Amino acid sequence: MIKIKKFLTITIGFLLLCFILVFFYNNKANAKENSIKNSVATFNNKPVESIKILNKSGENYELSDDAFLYTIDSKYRIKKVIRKDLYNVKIGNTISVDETKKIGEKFLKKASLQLENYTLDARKIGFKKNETYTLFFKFKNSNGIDTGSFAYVDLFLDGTLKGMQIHNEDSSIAQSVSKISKEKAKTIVFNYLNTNTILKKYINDIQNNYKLESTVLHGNKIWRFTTKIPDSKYSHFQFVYLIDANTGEFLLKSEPKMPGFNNDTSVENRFSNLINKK
Amino acid sequence: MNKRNLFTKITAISIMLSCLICTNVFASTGISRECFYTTNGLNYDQQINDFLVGDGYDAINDIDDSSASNVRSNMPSSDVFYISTHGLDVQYNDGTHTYGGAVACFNSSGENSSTLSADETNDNNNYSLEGLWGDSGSQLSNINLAYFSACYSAQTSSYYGNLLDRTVSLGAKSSIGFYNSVGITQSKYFDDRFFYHALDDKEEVSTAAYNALMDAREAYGQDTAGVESCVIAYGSSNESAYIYH
Repeated sequence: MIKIKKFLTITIGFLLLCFILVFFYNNKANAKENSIKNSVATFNNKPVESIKILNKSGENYELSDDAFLYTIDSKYRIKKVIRKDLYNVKIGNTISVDETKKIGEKFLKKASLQLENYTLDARKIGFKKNETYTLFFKFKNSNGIDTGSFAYVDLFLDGTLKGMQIHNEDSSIAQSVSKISKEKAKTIVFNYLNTNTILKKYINDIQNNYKLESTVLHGNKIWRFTTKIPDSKYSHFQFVYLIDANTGEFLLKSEPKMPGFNNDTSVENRFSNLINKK
Repeated sequence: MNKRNLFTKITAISIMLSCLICTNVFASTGISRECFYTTNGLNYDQQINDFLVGDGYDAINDIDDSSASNVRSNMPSSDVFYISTHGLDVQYNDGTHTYGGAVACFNSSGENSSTLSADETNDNNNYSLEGLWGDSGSQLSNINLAYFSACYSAQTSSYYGNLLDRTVSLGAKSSIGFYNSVGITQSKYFDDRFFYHALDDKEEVSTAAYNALMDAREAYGQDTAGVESCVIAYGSSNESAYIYH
């Protein structure tokens, strides 16, 4: 009789504990779900009930409301917004490119982004029905150094949102000391340019017309070398070379898909590893 | 008893015959889809093949002969047509250039031997869509997407015409090209991501292209090298196009 009583007490105690645990974790899960949905509700000013969590993809969450798809990172920050019915959009009256700046800033503020030090490049891209305004926000730290963080806001020509994305880098990386000096990075790039038959012809022009700045990409400090060459064939193309500021290795050779240029598989693999490592 | 056996046998045979007929009907109405694709002369591996095969496409990568005549002759039977190659420009005597309207094609020796263009020209090495099929028609109506991954492939050339407009006027449901010059590395990445979104995520082609652009920006930051100039053309009776099974 005593054994039965003991058994019943333990069983009931165990069930009670399970119930408490389930209740606790349910509440915690609901609170987490609400936090995720709230980051979207702050952006779209719609009730939390109208927002659905679609799935978890890696560290990110994918959500939707009636008009847009959202990607939220592990810190519940908006990473990506994309309109659902892209192929069937009716455009209203066209606004000017100058008018787009305030609209872009408004969307980024709604995504809780601090807009302090940044440069903005706003332009019309595309052709015919595919035309959009693209606003590129490049963020800098208080010393004016490029942090590698950026945001894109894409608007239809009437100023309505097509989509946007925000990329965050650790701003302390931009301040770190590079093992490869600026001068060394320049030498690495020019040594390479001299090996390409087309670029070699324009070495003197490039020496008088290039930019070499530090930035951060996928958690790595890099040297970014940009130039254009005075040949109408390539006049629209900006040549870009990214050098790892710690190893001196190429991370990207951005060259046009035109005769005389080939992709460098070893550089592409190194870049892929960089993305995957992150 | 014998009658019941006979009835059972007749029913079984009928069911088997129905299955056989259905299989043939489905096969002839295009349940099996074909994609002709080539990384024409660029000699790099892409993940596109994996996405196509994964979605059930019979992916034909003709690496032995990617000459313009062979590429063009593969278009009518393709549900998806993809070519990744160099774009073209023409320089006139006065020094001005006209861009697009044609792409470079390579023969079995890897030489840039011929061009595939929208409009007919006097050049013997140029194989145009107009030259074979005229201005418009339904010869390419099997194509859900014609994808010209090359610099300037969406531009209208005063010499070669416009590849995107020509393919949709010949019946293709949609077609993709790039207005500006594009980077080799970034366009390769963009194309792979496009097919991932269009096939694995089953997205409409405009959404897949926009998601591919966002992926390229996430990977390369500001250095997307022209892939943002991606242009999509739809056939007159199409407002959307899908390529997944």
